[in-house]
Amino acid sequence: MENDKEKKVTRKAKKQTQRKTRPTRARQTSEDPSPRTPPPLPPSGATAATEAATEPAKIALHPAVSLIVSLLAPGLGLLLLERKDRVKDAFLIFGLWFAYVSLSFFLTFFVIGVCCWLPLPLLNVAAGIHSFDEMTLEQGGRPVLFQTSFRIFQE
Amino acid sequence: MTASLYSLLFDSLGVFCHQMPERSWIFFGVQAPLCIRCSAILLGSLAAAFYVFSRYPLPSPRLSAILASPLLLDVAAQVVGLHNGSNGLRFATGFSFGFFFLIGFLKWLAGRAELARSKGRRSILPSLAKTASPS
Repeated sequence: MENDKEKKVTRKAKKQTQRKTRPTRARQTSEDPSPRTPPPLPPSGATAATEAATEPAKIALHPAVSLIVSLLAPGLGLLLLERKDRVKDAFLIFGLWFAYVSLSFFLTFFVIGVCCWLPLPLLNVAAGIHSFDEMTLEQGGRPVLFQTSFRIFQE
Repeated sequence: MTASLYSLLFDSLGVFCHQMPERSWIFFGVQAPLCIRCSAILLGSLAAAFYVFSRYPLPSPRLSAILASPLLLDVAAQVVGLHNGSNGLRFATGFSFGFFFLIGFLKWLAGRAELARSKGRRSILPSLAKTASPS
């Protein structure tokens, strides 16, 4: 008997809660077509901090990274730029450098090629400084040598 | 392990350096894998890179070419047989060549970039694609 009374009481309570909640749901659906999306909250310090924590952090690479990459593999430091319009230039510079190295290696077996190795460090260092300056210009810094961004060949 | 690495380095660098013992540095009884002239060129290039980053004004390409030329004169004089040369002279001329040749090359490249910018172009070399001739 006591169980039946308890059941009735809980049913009444459920019905009351349903009556209370129905109009509010109707209001929500009429105002917002997608109830799953939470309503926009006013920005506060705590929410901004949580958003910043959840977003992937954008870390700007130091230009020295580009310099070192281009020093070892000339031109490929340009691939680290955020602008992706320099990919062709990067592979072009690397291709020219690789062709020069291959030609020098081939010519070395015909005596005259030894002299071809002399300007090789120039290419590496020039490409490294070029990549450094391109990345510095992209980040709004002060370049070392090349004051303006430039390309090797015009498209 | 160290000996095999050294021999690998020595053999690979031997492609572009004569590695004559009398013209190479010997540290603690071990010969350096590059001769003094090649080492000096590399050291000069390294010093030039540091100089560029120090933001001091660079000499003009013409002056750089003049200051880099003693190496060519030294080599030519040795080939002809005017003098045998010394390791100190090889180091001095090699270092000046590596330093000023790199500085001159970079200055020339920067000048080309500035020239292209003043002419309203973004590239330092002319276009590879053939421009359509006006009919």
